[in-house]
Amino acid sequence: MAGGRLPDSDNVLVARVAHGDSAAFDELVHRHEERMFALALRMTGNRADALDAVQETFLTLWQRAASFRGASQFGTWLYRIGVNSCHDLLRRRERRSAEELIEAPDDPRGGSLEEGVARRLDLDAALAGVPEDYRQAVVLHDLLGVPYEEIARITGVATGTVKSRISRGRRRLAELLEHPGSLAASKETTTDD
Amino acid sequence: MTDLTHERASELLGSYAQKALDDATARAVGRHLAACEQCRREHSAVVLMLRQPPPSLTSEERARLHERLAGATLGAGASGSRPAVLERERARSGARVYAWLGAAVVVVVVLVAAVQLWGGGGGGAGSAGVASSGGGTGSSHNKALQSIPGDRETGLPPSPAYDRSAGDIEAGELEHLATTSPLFSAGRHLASSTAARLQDRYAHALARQAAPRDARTVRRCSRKVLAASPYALPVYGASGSVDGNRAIVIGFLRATAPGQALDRYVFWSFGAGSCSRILDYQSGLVGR
Repeated sequence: MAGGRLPDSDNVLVARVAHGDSAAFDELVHRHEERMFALALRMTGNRADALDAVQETFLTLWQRAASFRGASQFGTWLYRIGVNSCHDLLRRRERRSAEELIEAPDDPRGGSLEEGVARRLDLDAALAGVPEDYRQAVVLHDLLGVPYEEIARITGVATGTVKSRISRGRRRLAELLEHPGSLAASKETTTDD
Repeated sequence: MTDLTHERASELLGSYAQKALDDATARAVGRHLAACEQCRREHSAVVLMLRQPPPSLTSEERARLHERLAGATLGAGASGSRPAVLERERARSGARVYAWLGAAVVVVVVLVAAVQLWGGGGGGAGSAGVASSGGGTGSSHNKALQSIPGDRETGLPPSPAYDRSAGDIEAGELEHLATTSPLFSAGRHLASSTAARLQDRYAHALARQAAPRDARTVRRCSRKVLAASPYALPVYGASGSVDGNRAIVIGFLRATAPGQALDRYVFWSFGAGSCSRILDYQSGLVGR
C-alpha cells in the first residue's frame, strides 16, 4: 500500500466542482449515479423519468456545488437534491394519469403477499400508488438504508413525522401489493400527524 | 427483553427483516409481530422490498445520462477541460445523420453582416471582428440581407432550407461544414460575451425557421443546451432522422472560457426522449 493515494473524499470533490473542475464532477457522477438512480426509479416508477430525475440531480450539483458548505454529509445533501428533483418531475408530469404509471396485472386473484410476488407484481408500480411523502420516506429508509435523522434533514420534517410516514407508507404499500386493482383509485393525500 | 412498544417495533422492522438485530431484540420483535396485525403488514412490505434486486442503470442508460450531462456542462471549467466520462461519449459520433444542410456559403455573408451589426457594438475583448473571414464587402452584405428572406436579425438561413432533406449526411459532412463553412468561420469571431447576449435571438430564429411541427422541439432543445452553457450560440438547425428515428440536429458554436472567441463546434441530435452529442471539436479538428 506504500505510496498509494487515497481517493479524494466527496467533500473535497464537491469543493473542486464549485471551482469548475469537471474531472471532480465526473468522479462524483461515477460514485453516486447508481444510488441516485435507485432512489429516482423507486420514486418515479419508470426508468425514463428516473433518468431525467438523475440528470436534474447532477445538473443541480454542477450548478450549485458552491452552496454546499459541509454542514451535512455530502450524501445527505445529494439525496435532498435527488428527492427535490423527483418531486419537481412528478409535479410536472402529474397530468399523466395513475393508469398510465401503474399497470395492474390482468388476473389479480388475491392471495398472500408472497404469492403476489410469485405473480411478479411490480413493486415500482405499487410504490407509485403510495402518496409521495410516504414513498420518499419508505424508499430512503427501507430501500436505501438512510437513517431517520438523515431523512428528516433531507425532507425537512421532524424525525417523528418521518417515522410516521414510513409506517403509513409501508401499510399502504402492503395494501397495494395485496390488492393491485385498487392502484388506479389510490390517489390519496398525505396526512401527517 | 421486555415487550416492545408498537412504535419501537415499527422502527426495528427494517433491521429485523435484514436479520441485523441481536437475538433478544429479534425475539422481542417477533413477539410483537405475532400480536400486531399492523406491524405484520408493514413487515411484509419491507420483506418484499428487500427481495427486489436493487435497480441498476443499464450501460445504455448510463451512456445516455453521461451524454445529457455533457450537454449541460458544455461551458465547463476555465480550462475548458471536459469530464473524461463525457469525452468518451464523443467517440460515439459515427451516427449517420439525415438532415438538411444550410446554404452555408450564402449564409455566411448574412452572418458576417450580422456580426458587424452586433459584434462591433459590444463584442468584448475576444471579439476580433470579421475582416479575416473572407466574407466580402459591406455592399455584398447588404445585398444578401435584402435578397434572402431569412432571419435578418440573426442572419440565420431562410426557412425553406431548414427542412430540406437532401439525403443522408455523414458525420464527416458535418465536420466538413464546421471546418470549411464561412458561416462557422465567421461565427468564430464572435466573442463569448456577444454569444450570451444573442442566445435567445438565435434559438428563437432557429425555431421560427423550422417546420411547424419542429419549432417547439428546436426551441426547447436549444435552450436545454444553452441553459447550462452561457458561452454558446446555436447557429445551425436541421430536421431529419438519426439511426432511423426522427431527430433535430442543432449545431452550436461555443467558447471554452469567458471572453474567448467561439471556436468550438458542437452538434447535437434531439430525438424522441433522447439527446446526444454527435460531434464536438475545436477549430482545426483539435480533439477529433
